[in-house]
Amino acid sequence: MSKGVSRRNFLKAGALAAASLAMPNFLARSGVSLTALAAETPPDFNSSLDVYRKHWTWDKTVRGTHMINCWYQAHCAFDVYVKDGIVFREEQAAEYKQLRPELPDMNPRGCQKGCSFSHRMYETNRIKHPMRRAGGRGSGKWEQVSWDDALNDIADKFIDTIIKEGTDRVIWDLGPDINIGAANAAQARLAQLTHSICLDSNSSNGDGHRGAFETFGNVYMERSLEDYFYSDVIIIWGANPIFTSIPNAHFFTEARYNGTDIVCISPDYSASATKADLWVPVKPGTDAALALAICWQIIDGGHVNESFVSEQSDLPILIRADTGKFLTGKDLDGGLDSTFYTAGSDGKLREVDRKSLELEGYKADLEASLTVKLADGKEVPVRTVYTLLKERLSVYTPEAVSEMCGTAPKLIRRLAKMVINAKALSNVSGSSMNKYFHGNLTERAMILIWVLLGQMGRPGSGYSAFGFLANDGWEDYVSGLRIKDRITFGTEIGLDLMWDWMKGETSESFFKKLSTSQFTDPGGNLPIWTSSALFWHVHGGVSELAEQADKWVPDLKKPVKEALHESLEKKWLPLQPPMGKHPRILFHYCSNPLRSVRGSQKLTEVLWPKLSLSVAIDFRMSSTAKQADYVLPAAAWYEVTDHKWVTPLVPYNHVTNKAVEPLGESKPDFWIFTMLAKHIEERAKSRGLDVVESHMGKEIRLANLYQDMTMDGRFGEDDLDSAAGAILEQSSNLSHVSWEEQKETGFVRYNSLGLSPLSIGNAGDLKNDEPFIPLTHHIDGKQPYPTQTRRIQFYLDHPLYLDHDEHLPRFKAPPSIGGDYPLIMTGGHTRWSVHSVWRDNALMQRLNRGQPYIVMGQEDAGTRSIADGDWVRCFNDVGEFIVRAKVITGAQPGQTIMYHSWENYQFAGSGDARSVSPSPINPVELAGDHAHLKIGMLEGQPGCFDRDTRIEIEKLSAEDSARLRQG
Amino acid sequence: MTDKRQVAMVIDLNKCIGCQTCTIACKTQWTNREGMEGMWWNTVSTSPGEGTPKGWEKMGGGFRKGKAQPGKLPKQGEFGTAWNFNVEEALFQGDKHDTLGPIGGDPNWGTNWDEDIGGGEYPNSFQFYIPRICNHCTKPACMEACPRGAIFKREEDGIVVINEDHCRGFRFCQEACPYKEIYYNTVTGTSQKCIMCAPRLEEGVPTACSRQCPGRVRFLGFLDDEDGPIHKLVYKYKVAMALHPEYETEPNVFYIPPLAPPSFDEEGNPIDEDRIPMDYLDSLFGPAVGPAIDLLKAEKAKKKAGGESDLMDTLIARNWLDLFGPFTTNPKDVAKTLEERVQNRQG
Amino acid sequence: MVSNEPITVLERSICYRGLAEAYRSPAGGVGILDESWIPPPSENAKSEFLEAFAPAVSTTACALYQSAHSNREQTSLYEELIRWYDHFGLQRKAKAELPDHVSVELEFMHFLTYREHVSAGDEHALTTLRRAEKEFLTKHLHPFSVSILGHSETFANRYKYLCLEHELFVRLHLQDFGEI
Repeated sequence: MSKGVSRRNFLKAGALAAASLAMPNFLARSGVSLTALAAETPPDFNSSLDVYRKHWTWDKTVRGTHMINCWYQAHCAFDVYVKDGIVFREEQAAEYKQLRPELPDMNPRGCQKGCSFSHRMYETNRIKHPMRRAGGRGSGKWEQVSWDDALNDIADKFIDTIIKEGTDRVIWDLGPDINIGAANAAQARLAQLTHSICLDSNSSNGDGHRGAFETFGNVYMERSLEDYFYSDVIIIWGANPIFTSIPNAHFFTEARYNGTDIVCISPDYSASATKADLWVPVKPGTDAALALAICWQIIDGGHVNESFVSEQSDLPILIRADTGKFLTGKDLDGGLDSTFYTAGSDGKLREVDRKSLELEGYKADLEASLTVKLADGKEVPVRTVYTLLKERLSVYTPEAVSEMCGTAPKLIRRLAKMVINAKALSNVSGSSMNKYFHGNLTERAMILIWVLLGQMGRPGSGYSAFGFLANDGWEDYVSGLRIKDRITFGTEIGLDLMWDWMKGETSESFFKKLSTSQFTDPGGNLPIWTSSALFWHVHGGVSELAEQADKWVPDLKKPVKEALHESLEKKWLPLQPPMGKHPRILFHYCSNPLRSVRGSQKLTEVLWPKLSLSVAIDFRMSSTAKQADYVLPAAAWYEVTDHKWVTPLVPYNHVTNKAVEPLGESKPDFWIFTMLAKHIEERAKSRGLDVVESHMGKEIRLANLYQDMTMDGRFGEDDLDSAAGAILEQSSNLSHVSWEEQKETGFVRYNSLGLSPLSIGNAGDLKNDEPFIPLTHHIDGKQPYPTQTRRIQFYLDHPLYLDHDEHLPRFKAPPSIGGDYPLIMTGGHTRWSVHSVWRDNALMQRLNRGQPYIVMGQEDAGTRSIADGDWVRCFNDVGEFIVRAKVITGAQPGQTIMYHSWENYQFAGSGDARSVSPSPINPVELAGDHAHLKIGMLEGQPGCFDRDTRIEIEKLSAEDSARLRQG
Repeated sequence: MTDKRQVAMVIDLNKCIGCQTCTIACKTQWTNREGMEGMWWNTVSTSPGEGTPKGWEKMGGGFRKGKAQPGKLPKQGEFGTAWNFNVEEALFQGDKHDTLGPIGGDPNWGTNWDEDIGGGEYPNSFQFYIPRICNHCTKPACMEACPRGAIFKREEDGIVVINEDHCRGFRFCQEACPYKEIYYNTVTGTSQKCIMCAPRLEEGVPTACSRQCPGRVRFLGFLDDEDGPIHKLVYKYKVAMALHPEYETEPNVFYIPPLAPPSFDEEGNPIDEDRIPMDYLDSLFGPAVGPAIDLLKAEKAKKKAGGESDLMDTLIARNWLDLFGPFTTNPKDVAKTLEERVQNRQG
Repeated sequence: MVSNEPITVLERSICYRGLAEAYRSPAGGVGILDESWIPPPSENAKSEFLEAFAPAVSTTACALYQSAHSNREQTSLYEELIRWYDHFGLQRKAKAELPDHVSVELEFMHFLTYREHVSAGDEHALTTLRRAEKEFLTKHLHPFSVSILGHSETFANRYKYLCLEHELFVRLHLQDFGEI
């Protein structure tokens, strides 16, 4: 044509002779052949309006949900509207039943992100084909490869690594797609069968609720949403539910109309503060002082619930004045060091019952003070925890505390009065406190309020920490549907259980033991876990950023790195692979550490060079996928059938159904893990390998891997649906409704907490017709807590705590992490994304600002001549990043807010929001050699601390700003 | 002819959490077609603020003492443009650092640009969220301004609609509407606006913004339904009122005004002074707002003391479907009915 | 095109089919398209194809989805296209490409022109079909083709010509309609 060719040159000779319809993408809707369709009289067509006016109907709607960890707000049943194999929209199913006429129902659970996931899943950055890096890491050069090629190469490198260096060199980094469903079970089973290492990312996410762990020996405690309606005071503290719990929020606004007082304690006049009856501004990181002021008002005013604290807590237990440690049976008569004592008003000692909290009329003297004679003849004075606490708290008067936290004394008194007078006091849990260096102290101080008042275990009353509710068939599946056989007499675990039972241990303690063993003594039929914070600090080099930590944190006893190494050497905390053994293969299962790990700039510098393989499994191009060797396209949440854990707030198992085929060549995670097992088996066989030994000495049956993975073919790569069903059938708390019915309805109420270590700590009865209240097994059932003293424990006599003067709750000023700079960079989850999944979504961004910004107050902006929308540089001793400023009226002077989860590639310049946050480890969190301060699933691990980060902000020059402007 | 009735909405600002699920629900249902990229028939703005379109309250229109007032035509940029992102370059490209951001330079306005900025001075900052749609006014200024007679108010439900076959895109309606709730589609050359989800209402389904609202903010129903919550809130308790009643178009969307925590004196002690200045609320809702806020506070106090309050119970709406009057159908069930209808017609 | 020797309807239909195949895979359409029109695939066709059309691989690649070339919301564009396909009796296969892929739009044109071919003599049918073709090209495929062409400068020979000739082919088809 352009070359002047004649028309006959369009087609090859013969092409026309064989001319027929060839349409790989279409069928005739009426079922006739395409040729027959073509021969029909065509429908009228006058203009495209004819096309548009036609009735638009759906082929089907199916129940779906989003397999994402949006935690406290999880989950929501949706109707997914499908036409011609494409998801066009979704709308909330909104069929949750009202529990009682006096309680609001949960409808119509959903948020703006969930209501537009169909938009998200078809966006341009959806990964549709397996890709292999074709240039250097992060060069952006990729080539499309077949699944076969990708899986064979990965399998070969996998085998090379485990043969040459050990199975613990293969790491699974698990992101927010962990569903405790079939997809996640396949990953866990593959890890378990090959003895590779799974990262417990809760620790590096900073969601550990360390204070609850230190106090209850357990972080898992959360109520169901309806229970808030029975509270007369709800405190939003360390949370911003109006941003982060969108479908839950109406329970708070409606409770307010019902007469409940909502209190919001936060540095900024946050979105949640706008819904409060009382907003209490506090300087960032000083909440412990405020909490202790309330505690002192309770004690000083004589409001302590003595019977509650005597029965449930360690406050009446005796402490030796000479050592600062608990008085034990070993001290007194060479007995057990797990025997503790209280004293009556007659001065007689009484052993603390380890099997029950029931006091049977006994009244301990909360302020006992006496001298006891020890086995070695020494006489030592002993006093109660309560006495020591009272002494310590007497300094927290409203006036003194006002100096610490900036809250006016009158306001502190008003708040304390509200709290003390509350008939049913509850809190809204979030994860902000954990992200302050001394967040553990803050949470311990907060819990003390509830315990002193005995505000626990009743409708509308109680402290919420970490929400998690899961099926308990998952571990069975992961272990090859064999674990139930193993918990019988004659097996190791069975014997352990029998021994615990004879000692009067609770099943809560037993399953917690099982959870700990997956870190400390793995090798059974469950995967091996390790703390992600430890992993990134040691193997990722993040701890190198904290070398100046002694300048930032005033009362460190030794350099953070030294303390870390001591803990690892003494095996207080387990790390796999151990220090010195380099990780080689890193699988990112929808995880995004290069975005999420504080100080992640170290990872590409220190860890990546050690890796022979980095594989990202995701449906979108994350910051981490950009630096991977392989990107494997995962199916999106409307393209798979599976189910997902929730929290007691919304105690319904949620199911997503495969509404459409996975886009392009993308595959369900379940398929990817199973096929990887198949390829490893095939490659091993072709290399003549049969069995290799794991780093723990277990036989890894490479030549049977696929067979083992699929449980002898029962759950092959295409059997996701039946695998998901099998997990529920194994579950004591979800097998009451058939899998088929669960898929149909999309949500089913759990009928009990079940036995998963991720739920059992909630310790309450989950019923069909009433709100759930946690910890009633302890409070009403008098079951002991899984702590050292078997009581809610405020005194920690561990040497690290004694050394740092943290054996009792106290206030420590937030350290200046990052250097001596005037602004504190707080943060929080954004309204506009869940993790980074929606952060770059065009729809969400059009309702936000399209670019990363840091929030600051008018005063701080004014003194720096910064106006709303200006480009600014944020920096400290550790790093810097460039964003635009958003100037609001509600930020406290000195406070800035960097809402989280912008991808690194959304920042102009090379830094990102994590670049200024070295997140040094808090040394007390390295404890592990203790009755309850020890690692477990999602708890008892070091956290991450970015909220104390100090920065300065300067306006960029006009030239620099212009340079950053695109287009 | 059917009886003249009016569908109305009450939006509770104390329950609105600014999550914009309504905005997304509307966007994905209605304004995702050609030429509608920058349209938001439903918006939620932080108040105080410029709102959407930027500075709309200063653009005139409506009536004064019954006389139509001149109005300004909002510019597209004042609604906020639907910026696109350089996804391919930033995500998949080579060595140089490519920042993912809007194509065409830094945005300096968007439909929700003012989010959470608020007013006042710390710690006496104040803010609330205010969702807006077309008010489906009883005296629609847009209808009066249209020289083509393309805008009409439906008898059966009072929904104000633009007949796009008659519309010639003169945009007088945009100037006349004091709420600036009308958009112009450059592709079709017609004016477009919120249709109160008329096709959904006709099937008994609540509007998308109402049904999809996780905050349970929106009451929906016929204004004359004396047993319905809308009648109660607007006429009996007088706690729901129109935004800018002085525009004289008689809106049929009403608002429950916002409460706020107490403000502080100079020492940071709480004082019994409204955090949201009453004159600011007056400027939005007229003089009825003061008594309404007093009543809300008094009824809450009653509840707190253990008493009964029909007003508070109505606002709580424990049973979600109670929000929607006669519109209680699940859209997925209508999808099926529609399908059957199509099949019947073909059969 | 030589104007006094118009291409036949069937030829045009097969050309659309060939073009659709050429955009589907590196060596697509080779059995149909004359090598003097669209150059044959080179030895490196596999990587050249990715470099041209897979943004994941190359900085200069051009996405073959219409939604990537306009600021329409994808789902609304899918809906509109599916309405088109549906109006003419077509249904998307379960594992098909997304409805806005250029090969799908070309395939639709292949179908419409093929129908035109078999409807020879039925003036009403022909008017209807031509009107639809013209409108579809005007609203969708032609502006899309122009946008693809705009990205093609650095593509390997076969794919550069494919973009160039495809756009011209579509444009000349449009010119052929005149007023309907």
